[in-house]
Amino acid sequence: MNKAIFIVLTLLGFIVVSFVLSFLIGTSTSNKIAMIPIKGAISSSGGGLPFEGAGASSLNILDQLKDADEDNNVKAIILEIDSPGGTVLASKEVADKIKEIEKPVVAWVRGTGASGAYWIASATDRIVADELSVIGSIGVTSSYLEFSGLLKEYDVSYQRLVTGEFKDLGSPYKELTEKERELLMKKINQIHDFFIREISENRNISLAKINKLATGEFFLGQEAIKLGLIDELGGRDEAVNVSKQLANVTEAEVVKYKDSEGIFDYLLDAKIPYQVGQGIGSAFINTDLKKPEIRA
Amino acid sequence: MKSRKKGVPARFFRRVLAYFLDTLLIALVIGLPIGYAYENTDDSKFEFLSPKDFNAKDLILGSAIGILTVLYWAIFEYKLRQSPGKMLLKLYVSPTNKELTFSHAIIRNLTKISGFLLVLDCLYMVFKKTHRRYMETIAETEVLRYE
Repeated sequence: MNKAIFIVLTLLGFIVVSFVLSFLIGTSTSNKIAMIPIKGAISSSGGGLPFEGAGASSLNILDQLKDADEDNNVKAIILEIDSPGGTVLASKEVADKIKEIEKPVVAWVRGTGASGAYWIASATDRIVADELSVIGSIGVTSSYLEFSGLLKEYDVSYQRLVTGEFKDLGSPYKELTEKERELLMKKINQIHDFFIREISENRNISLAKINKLATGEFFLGQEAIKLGLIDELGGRDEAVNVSKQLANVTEAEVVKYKDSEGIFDYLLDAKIPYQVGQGIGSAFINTDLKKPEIRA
Repeated sequence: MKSRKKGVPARFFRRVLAYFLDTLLIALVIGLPIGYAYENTDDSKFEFLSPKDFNAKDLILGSAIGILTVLYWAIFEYKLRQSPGKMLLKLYVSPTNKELTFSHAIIRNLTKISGFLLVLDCLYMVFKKTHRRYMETIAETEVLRYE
């Protein structure tokens, strides 16, 4: 056989084999419902809080939402929520993304869908939760540990060298002044107002009613449905059925999206001890004075 | 067949260039179709193989690319003594002992399944000051250039 013909035929053969293999491996054309988990405290990095273990990264959630939105086989998206909330920005960016998606998005609250996690859920088309799920806790917090008393006890003083009055606002090494407290509360109130406006718009509930509910109180699923904070009582099956109804499909395969984690997480599952160590360590030795984190 | 005409050992740089030309071709004929499958296959399809966060999809599709890549070189070198990249750079594979069998062609290309293994394979050339990779010595082959 001519050399050139052999090369062309072999290369064609490789293309055919690769395509056949790809098809066999699983290029799926069936209807799918993407299930995206939001578990633990929500933050941009997904680092969670000390003693709370790993959290949910808003960047990962945004990536997964984008993937699901771009996949033509995905007809609806379910957010599997079990989270006490998280940082304001992380919650907001996920809620904003959900509103951009034209496909039906359903929130399925398993254990907890509180604060920032409820903000995210409110942006979906329908919220399904168990009658004993924890819902709501609408409010904003910026509490933090302050060590000035402890430092005094050990005769350690805080040398304040700043160029702006509020530069070291929220430093754990000094007591908060009245002026600083007022400023922080002003910011927290601004975020609170924004938060409840969003919930009111998302859930189509009057601002006055949401204002009454936004005391930070959490509600059980059975209470939340009466208050209009959720739409259905139920579990996974209800969430899947609601998604199918909204997507107008009778059959769909539920596809669970996973966080892509590094080898560090895979080996020894060492993330939790690492975070505890990081949390304790940074409280004492981190000299980078961060502003107190405002969480929803 | 031209390979029976004895050439001179190919220079390393020439071989690297031939390798990259072949890699480009492989990216087109193997990488693109399997990459398409990668994009359109969800991880859950392989969940039954995943112990935890381990991504079985990466392993399976990566292995498929690796196996087809080795076959690419083995088929061309067994049938023509040259891959398209080698052909363009006037290189060919020659057995140092007997005839080149298909299993020899597979063995000499096995480390091309991974860039890391290939580098290790090539380090042998540096340390032994030879023009043959370690797997080439096992497969009793060498790469020559037409004079």
